[in-house]
Amino acid sequence: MDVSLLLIRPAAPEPIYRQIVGQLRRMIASGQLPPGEPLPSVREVAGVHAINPMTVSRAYSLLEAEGVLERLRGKGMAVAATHRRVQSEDKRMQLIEPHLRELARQARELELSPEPVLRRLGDLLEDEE
Amino acid sequence: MNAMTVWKTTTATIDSGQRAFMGGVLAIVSIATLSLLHYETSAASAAVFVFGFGLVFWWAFVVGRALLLQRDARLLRVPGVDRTVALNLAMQFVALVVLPATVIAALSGLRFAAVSGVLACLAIGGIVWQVLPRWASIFIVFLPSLMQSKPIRDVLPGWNDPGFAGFVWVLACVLVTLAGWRWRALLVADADGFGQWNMPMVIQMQRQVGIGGGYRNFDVNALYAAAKRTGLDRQVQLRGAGPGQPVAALRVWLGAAFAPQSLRARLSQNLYVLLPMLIVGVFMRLSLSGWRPALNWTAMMMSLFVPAMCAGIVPARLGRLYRNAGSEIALLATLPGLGGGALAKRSLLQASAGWMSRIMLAFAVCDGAVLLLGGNRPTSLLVVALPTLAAIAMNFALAYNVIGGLRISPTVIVALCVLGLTAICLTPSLAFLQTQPGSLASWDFAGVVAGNWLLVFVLLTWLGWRGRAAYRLRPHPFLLNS
Amino acid sequence: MNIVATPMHSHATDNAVLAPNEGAPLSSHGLMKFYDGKCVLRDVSLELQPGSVLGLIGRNGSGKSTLIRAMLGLIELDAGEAQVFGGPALAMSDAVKEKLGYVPQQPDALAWMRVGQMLDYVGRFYPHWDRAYVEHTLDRWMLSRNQVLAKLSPGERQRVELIRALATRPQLLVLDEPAAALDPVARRDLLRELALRAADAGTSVLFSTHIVSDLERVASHIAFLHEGRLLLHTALDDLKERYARLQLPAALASQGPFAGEIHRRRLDHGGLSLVIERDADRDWPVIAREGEAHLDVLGLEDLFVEIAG
Repeated sequence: MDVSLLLIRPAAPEPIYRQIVGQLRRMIASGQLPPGEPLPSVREVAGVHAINPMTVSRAYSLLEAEGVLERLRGKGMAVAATHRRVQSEDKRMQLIEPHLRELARQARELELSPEPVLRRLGDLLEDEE
Repeated sequence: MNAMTVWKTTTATIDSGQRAFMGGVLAIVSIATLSLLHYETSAASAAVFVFGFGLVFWWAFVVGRALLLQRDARLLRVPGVDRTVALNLAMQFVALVVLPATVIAALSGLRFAAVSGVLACLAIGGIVWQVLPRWASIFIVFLPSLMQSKPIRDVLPGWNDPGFAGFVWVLACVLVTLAGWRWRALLVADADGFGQWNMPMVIQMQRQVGIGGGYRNFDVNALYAAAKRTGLDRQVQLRGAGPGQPVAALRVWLGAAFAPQSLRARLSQNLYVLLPMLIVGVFMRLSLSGWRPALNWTAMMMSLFVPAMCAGIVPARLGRLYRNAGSEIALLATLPGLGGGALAKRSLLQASAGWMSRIMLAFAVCDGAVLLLGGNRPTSLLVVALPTLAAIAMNFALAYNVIGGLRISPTVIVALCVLGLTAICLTPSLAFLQTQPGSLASWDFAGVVAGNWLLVFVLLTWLGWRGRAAYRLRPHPFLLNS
Repeated sequence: MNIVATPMHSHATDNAVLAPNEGAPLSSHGLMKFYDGKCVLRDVSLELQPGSVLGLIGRNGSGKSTLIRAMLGLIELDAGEAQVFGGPALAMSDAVKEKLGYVPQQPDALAWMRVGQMLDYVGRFYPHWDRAYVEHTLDRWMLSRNQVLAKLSPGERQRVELIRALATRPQLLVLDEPAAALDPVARRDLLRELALRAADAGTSVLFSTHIVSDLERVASHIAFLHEGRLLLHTALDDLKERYARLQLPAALASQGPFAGEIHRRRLDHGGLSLVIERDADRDWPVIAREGEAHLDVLGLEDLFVEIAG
């Protein structure tokens, strides 16, 4: 995996370790990172993004505990081989849940009725295909 | 614009310590002038010069600073300052030249035109001293003694000559023109464009910091100017300075005159002091009969000048370093290789006050030898020994206070400077006095001088004892005073 | 100002780079400092854990520099005790000093020397001086060895000082406002250097700043100094998850203080803006579930402004 695929936004309210966890999860869930794919070392991520190495290792440890990543003997981290390539729809929905909630909150604040929002979301989803 | 604003133009530009010092000098010369006029009506012209002596310093160091304000205001594009400064000058002229001249003329019977003319010359001379390039202003220090020399005295009109008042006022006009011309040039000059020889005193004063002030407006440009002026980076000898040689190492960290350098480098740095000395010595040779008196005279002048110049160097340097939280001191506190607390404390003293003492002692030995070879009586050695000893004691005592983290009140400094300078100025006349056996007058005078020195040394002992006690209590020698 | 915070301490749990077994690089208890009768530090207790990067944040004049100087034994204290690697800061041994790299806020030292000359001279005092690092970094940062230090721009001067401190291969690096004079590229470079030092050698870092974005990248912990008091000291990740801003309507403004409230500020229209903290079960306090209440998760900068503004 290329280190620069990670996008770190220090000023975001979300802690950096959560940003890393979220992005890796999504990349693995989508199959962008196949099982067995080695991950960049903590030092490499910390150096390229000028972030604290402890933050990176915290993210890795969390994903390791979840079984998403596994520690290779002497070779650092890799995407867990046992991990199903594509997760169940439920699991994947869980990953996107916080973003949907935030979207819903903003739509309510703008006093938009659900229909146009859902229609636009549908358009966007189809555009991507 | 009210009068207060105009007056503050002067006082705002110097700090309280310097203000107290200059105020003290002015007060002392005023008292001296009045008592001279009261007791010795025949010494009226001397009284004018006594007051004029104070006036020179006031105009050079206080009014000169007000002019700096004008320069800064121009750089910062602040409007209206030109007028304030001009009004301030007029105010100072009335208060310190016209008014005293009226009083002196009334008390002494001298003509007002003559007295005010002389005072005006001295006041403006103070400004000229500040704005001339350094190579020229050095000579102004020697001007009074040159005026006393025979060939010049023969040419100048005396107080009682009919053309005297006219002469001094023409001289005053020449000085005003000179000061105005130089000042206009300085107003627009780039401060970085001055080198070792042509930097005017007033610009140097703005950047350098003496005992009293300016610590807070420490800036990188000043450091650069200092570095450029000395070229120390090329002259410093770093061999033999490092861990295990704490004294040599600390002398490098203290920098400036303390850094180890070759004798040649030191001489070339101090050329601007030595050269005028040499020229004046040659001049004295021409005006006095024979080399011996000229040499004697030069040796005596040096014995007064050198200790007076060196007396404040160590505390001034240390004070500057210990007040600046980004200075060498902050790094020294975290630097390995200087030995434990007690060793580092001793080394720091040796590198600062100890080193300066060695320079002064070496000079004193040379100077004393010249005086003895010149056929002077052994008592003439007092003229070297006392000022040197006092200067060494002052460096140690004040340095102890700085590195001991104590504040010295400006009053103590003023008292010390005034007592010290008086003692230094009186000592030559004592040492060279041709005492008649049993002459009461000379013993009285000797008593006054001795008492004066005693006061100086008592004050220094007290200061030193206090500072030393505080220094010994410090956990390590590199504690910032900020 | 109405601050009801007590210093909060928490430790990063997943520490990949553990430091050798010795006293904490920096630790101080109950520091008090007065200048001319004015209290600059009020009972500050702060510890720097081995391998952590502690960002000290606060407004200008909040006492950051004084705290750093006090923790390193550069000034005497009116009360309290500061320790460096377990020994008193006011009597550091050479062994401790060799492990410490310090860059003051406006470095002026040896300004009359040339860049190379100063680095050579200072290097003599450190047995682990990394000459190769000096040469390499001078080139990388495009600094000339022959320039007089006083002639450098503030940013260049700062970089030379950073090289000086880093070349000692310190186990503890203390930087007072290191980034203030640096441009964005040089700043990122410095942060990268700090991150790599922490990763490779387990170097502990204390740095002060008022540029919050620097701190957010590289800090593992943050300490928030306000008017000489330590308001927060916590792991950075926790901070973002544990605190939030809650806006309450005017109707509720007269009530309180509420449970979990850290700081309150009255708004112009009569409402309240609170900074609240999660409770022990990591839930937001009850007041956050009030119908009219509006909860915002805050970035560090907003939190800083909210509390210190």
